[in-house]
Amino acid sequence: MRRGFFQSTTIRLALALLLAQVAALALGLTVIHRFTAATILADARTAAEVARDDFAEEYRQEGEAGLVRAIRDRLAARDDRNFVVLLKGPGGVPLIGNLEQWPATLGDKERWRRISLFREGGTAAEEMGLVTRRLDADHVLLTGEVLEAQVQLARASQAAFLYALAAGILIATVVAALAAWILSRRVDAFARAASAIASGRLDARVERDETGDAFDRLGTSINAMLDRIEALVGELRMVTDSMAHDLRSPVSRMKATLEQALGRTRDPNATAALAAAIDEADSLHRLLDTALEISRAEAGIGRDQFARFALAPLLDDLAEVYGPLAEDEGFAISVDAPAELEVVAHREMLLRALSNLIDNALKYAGGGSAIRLSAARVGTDVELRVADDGPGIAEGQIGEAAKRFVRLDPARGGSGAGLGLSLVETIAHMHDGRMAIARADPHGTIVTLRLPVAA
Amino acid sequence: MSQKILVIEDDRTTADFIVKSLTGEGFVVDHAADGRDGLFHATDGSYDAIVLDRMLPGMDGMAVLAALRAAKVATPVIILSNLGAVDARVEGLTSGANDYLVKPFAFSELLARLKLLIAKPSGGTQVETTLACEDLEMNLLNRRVTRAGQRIELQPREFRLLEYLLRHKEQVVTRTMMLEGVWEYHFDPGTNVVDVHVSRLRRKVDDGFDKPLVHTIRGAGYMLGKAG
Repeated sequence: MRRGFFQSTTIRLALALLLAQVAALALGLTVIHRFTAATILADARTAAEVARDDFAEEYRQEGEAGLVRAIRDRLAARDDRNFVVLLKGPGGVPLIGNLEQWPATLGDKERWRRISLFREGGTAAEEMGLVTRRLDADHVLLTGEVLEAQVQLARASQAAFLYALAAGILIATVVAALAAWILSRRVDAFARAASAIASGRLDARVERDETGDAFDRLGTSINAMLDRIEALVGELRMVTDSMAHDLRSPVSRMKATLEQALGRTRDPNATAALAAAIDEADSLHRLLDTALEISRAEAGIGRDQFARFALAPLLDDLAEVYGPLAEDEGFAISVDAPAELEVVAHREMLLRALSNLIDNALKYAGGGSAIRLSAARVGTDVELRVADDGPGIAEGQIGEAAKRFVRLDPARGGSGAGLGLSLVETIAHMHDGRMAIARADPHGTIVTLRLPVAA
Repeated sequence: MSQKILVIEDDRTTADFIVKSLTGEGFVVDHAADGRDGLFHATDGSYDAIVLDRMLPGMDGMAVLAALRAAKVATPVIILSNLGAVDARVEGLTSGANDYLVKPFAFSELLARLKLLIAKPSGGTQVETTLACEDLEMNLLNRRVTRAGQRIELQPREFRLLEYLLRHKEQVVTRTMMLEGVWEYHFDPGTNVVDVHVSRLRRKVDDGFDKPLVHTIRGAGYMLGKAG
């Protein structure tokens, strides 16, 4: 099962990039907004203070009547529609201005207050900045500016921010996708090499682009590692081959000596003993053979001999070859495979694996009466099955069964050194597949080889 | 006229054993202990068969074989090898060997295969329609088998097994030779599958007749023919 979309490193990287870009954008726009807003506020405050000082001068020179006239003229002039003014006379009565009333919370020595108020005839409260000054015991003057520009700026900033965000997300997505693509392309080179190695093509290497960047350096060191692995596997192969040479030669000579002795004696006891010894030499030979076969298949040797063939005839053949022997042991072999099912595999190895499984069934399914060979296509995989209806393997021992040199029930004796299933599993691995052992219902054993080899 | 065999084998014990045993069988045997020497002997082309070890000092067995075939020497070659793996066998056969034997081998196996190689008709491609041994007859066209005029019913594979035995009558055939020749199995299943097949065939062919034709050769295999 694949993990979630957001667990993908590529997606995370792209998202991080996107977030970083959006954050930078937001920060930039906020700073611009702040500076602009501060400037606008300073302008408004200056305008309020200048008006206050002008009117105070007017009052000092012309008195109340002069100031009222000046204020009226100023309001009539409509040169500044954001201008706010109010003159409070004796008893707190508003004498003139464009505010409905003196705000209760406002003192008479405000240096700069921002407050929301109704203007005369206004339909909504407006944000404004105000300054006040007491002119004498009876008169207090209020001047200010409606902060309309401020509001507009806020709106504009918001819109600008949204547009910029949309564009930013778009650009960031493209950049992130591009970055992810570039990364993937570089990383894919490693993945390709690794999976080729895993499937046994030990000469595979990471493609390099000779740029000398971090990826290229990583590729260089991975290739150096792969060279070493290939050399080691080569050595291993040489060691197994020469081990075969060294171990088999004495066996060969032993067998030759025994054969010669067998040809010279007429003593029936000696003949029987020599024949038994020859049989043992043969088993030893087969054991060496199987162990070697396993190590070679594990190294992926023989993959170049994969060929296309139909499975049904192969299974029929097996049933035919083993039929008489099985019959003698009390089993009937049946085959169930679609005629058109073809695979690309190592025929000999597959045959060997299935032979081993049938052999096992004959040896260990005593009491059973049927061995079923079946093949089926599952997607691009092929499932090969050898099932018997013997007593089966105990649940707890299934894991043990495939281990090399393990025999579940030593008391049963027989030939073989417990390498059989291990070879079968190795052959499955050689085909990039796997082997599974399960209990059959109600009793018996099913060994399944699932191989991605459907043709 | 005795037949000449060249044995190219570096392991002294094995070589001695092969040479001694083949001489005992009436062959004239020459021995070469390394590849160069072996190739030198082999190129004169006067041998009936060559037994060639795969792993040799100086010049590898496969190289010797390649050089021989390149020099158009067609002497049948049987390779001896420690590399039991399937691919080694295929490699041996594709590079021009006529047969392949994995050590340790029974001498009887080597002998049976050598005789087969030497006996192989070199050019005769005439089509056989009947095979016979004593009073046992096999008609390859209508696939009828009779013994002393009596019809014997055989399964298809029993037919092929008998055909194989008839084609090599009076010769010892080993279990592995039968596995290869009849079932095309190039590995030893390690169980007595072949014996069971032969014993069934024997029942059909020999039961009820005075003279048995299918003989078990102890330590070697089987032989179809007169008692011996």
